[in-house]
Amino acid sequence: MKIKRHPGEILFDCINYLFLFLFAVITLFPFLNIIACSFATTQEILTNPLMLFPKEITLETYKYIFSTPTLVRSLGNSVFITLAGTAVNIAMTTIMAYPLAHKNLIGRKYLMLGITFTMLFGGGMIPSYLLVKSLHLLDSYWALVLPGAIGTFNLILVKNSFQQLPDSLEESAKIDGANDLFIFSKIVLPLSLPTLATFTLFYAVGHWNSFMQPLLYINDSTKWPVQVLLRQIVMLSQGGLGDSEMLDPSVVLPAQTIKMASIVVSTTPILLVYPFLQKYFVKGVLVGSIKG
Amino acid sequence: MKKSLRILAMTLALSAAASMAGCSGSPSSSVSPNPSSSSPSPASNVNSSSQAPVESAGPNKVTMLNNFYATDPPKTDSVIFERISQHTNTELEITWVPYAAYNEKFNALLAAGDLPQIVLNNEGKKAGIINAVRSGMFWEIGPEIQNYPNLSQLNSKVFDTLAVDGKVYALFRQRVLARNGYIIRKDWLDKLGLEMPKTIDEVYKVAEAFTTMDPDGNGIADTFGVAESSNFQVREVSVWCGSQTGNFMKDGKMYPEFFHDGYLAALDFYRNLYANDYINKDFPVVKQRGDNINNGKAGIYFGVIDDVNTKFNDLYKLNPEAELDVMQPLYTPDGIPVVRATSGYNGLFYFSKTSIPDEAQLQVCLRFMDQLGDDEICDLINFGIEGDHYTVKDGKAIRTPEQISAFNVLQNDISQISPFGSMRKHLVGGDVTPIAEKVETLFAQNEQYAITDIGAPFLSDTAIKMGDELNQIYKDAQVKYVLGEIDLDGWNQAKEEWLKAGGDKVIEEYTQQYSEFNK
Repeated sequence: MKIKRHPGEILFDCINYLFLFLFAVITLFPFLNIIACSFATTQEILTNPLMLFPKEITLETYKYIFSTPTLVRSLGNSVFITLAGTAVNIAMTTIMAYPLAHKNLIGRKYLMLGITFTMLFGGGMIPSYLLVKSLHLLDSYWALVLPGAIGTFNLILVKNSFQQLPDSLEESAKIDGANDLFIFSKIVLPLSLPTLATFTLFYAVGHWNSFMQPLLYINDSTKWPVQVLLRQIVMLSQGGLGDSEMLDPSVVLPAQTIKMASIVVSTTPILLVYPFLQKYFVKGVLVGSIKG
Repeated sequence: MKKSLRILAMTLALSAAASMAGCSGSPSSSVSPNPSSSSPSPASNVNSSSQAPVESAGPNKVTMLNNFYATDPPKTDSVIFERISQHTNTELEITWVPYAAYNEKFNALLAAGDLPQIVLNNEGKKAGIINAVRSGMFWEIGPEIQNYPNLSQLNSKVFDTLAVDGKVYALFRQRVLARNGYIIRKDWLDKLGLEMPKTIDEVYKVAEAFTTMDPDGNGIADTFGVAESSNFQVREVSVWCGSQTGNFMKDGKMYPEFFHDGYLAALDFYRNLYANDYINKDFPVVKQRGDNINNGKAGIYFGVIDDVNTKFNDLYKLNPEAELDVMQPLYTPDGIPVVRATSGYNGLFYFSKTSIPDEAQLQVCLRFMDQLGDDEICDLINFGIEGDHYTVKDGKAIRTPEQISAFNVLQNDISQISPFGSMRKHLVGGDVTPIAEKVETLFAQNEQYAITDIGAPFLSDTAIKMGDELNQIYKDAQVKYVLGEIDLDGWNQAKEEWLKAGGDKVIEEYTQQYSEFNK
């Protein structure tokens, strides 16, 4: 049966759609502009900086940024750090969260206290640097992976999501003869896929965007991730240098097109991850796990 | 219950151990003036100096922290570095940090007591570095400089401005003093039958003509006079209006430049430009003022005149007819030729006590820096390797385009390591464009007209502590004044506010040191 809609409702919906559409356009515009600029000639950017589609499409910029191994290498580094780092993050976080989700864990209250304590009082940049240094992790990818292997806040959220699982599920598995490890890997984790997807994304984006840690811990420029390179290009091409009278006369700043193309190349990979994790967000948490 | 207590105890012990490890490391290594007591851990062998005696036959190890502007740091295994190592008999180890993040890395290493031997610092007289100097983290090198043939040729006046509490702790990367001026569209001037303006009033008239008389001849009023950005050049213009660079004396007190009448005249100049649209209206949010020159909309660019060599290639691509010229010095209303002086340097080299244990190693480092000024190294840094990258003809380095690009790949900011930079030349280039040659000539000619900052040798503790906040007060006000949002009263109010917020102390401290210095 069709419900007849009041004209006022239809009007409201129209305005709503219009508003949201405009909002979407505003949000999308910078992306499109950057992509357009990355394919445009420098001259066109200068005359028409707000373009959405270049009159003359050129691949020169991309040829240029891929002409040296720098960008590809740093992208590779970023991909590696993100994959390895996220894998370590998820493994460590879930392994720690699972026992903490059990009320009968001995000393649970004090462990939780210790965990929350680190949220309030962090070591800070210098002690962290000294720690990494004394662990001989300087110039190693491990320095980017290990110190932040467990995000405290994420840990608590994952723990809470494990607690949402009905106790009866675990009990029935125990009665069937499953041990803790089996329950964790075959029942709890598969049921928590949406949670895992969310935190994979959180961790992965964090690793992809991390800038300060690689800068501090990695001296070998061949190991730098793409963010270090990107910041250098963006800052210099914007002239964010303070007084130009301080600059060495021989320094040539990168062009706008190069900045735009570098942004496109370094943002695209992580944007591509979203659609693949999207489907997990939509799925229900406990679909079909317990009958009755 | 017993079990849970044990776990609690373990957790506490672990966290206590962790926090102690975190805290105990930093004070002992960062504050300790005695280098031998710091960081005994084996990890420090990367940066700690080698134990090689100075007079030994083998190369001495020199470590350095430096920045680079390119996308890739200079390759330390390149043939150029090999030559430098050979010439200076050193084993070079340079930690390259991107310019965009240099200060963060520097401060982390400084606080961690993990600085290499020679470290570049870009922060001038900020609290962090001055406190580090005062706490004895760096060697005093002032008295040593005269012992080195090349270093002793560096401008001693600049060394005076580097002193902290009367002592010199740093070498500097020298830069041209008389570097400021303006760049102008010569073809527009010619078309309108105008002369190169020599005073600020003439500049204003040209800006008006560039806006109203259609200098690009396309029949549309789409051009304007002055291209500016958020970092607008009021300080440079103020010197042309009769103000001083940085600070000036009035009634026996040292005031900052924005108290000068000439500074107000410069603000009025900009205010009039803005009111009449002779300047880009969006300048407070523009980041690169060169863009409006490059796209052929504006005709005048204030700033360092050697920008003409590097920043406007896009203009010629868009408009091959375009022609740029440079002007320096300009004349004040009293008819005096002036150039606003730069600090004369970009970045300071400090010598870290944590990794230079003794005088002998300090000598090694200083000798290395000195040798970077030798003729061979100057040519190497400027032109590369003779035969491969250039040939000498009539005392000039002649290069083919292929040789230039081959060298550019290799050199990649290599001059950053040298206190002499590209300023000290043995050979001169044979492929210099006429405008680049003019710029070089002007630099040399006009050094006599450079107005340097009389306050540069002094340190105000108040300015070190809260200089940025204080300056924000007048910087906000000056933009508002130019945009016409406040009038003269508002500008004077901002100056009052600056005085009340702590500026009066800055003046007091500078004045006191100035009168002691000139006793």
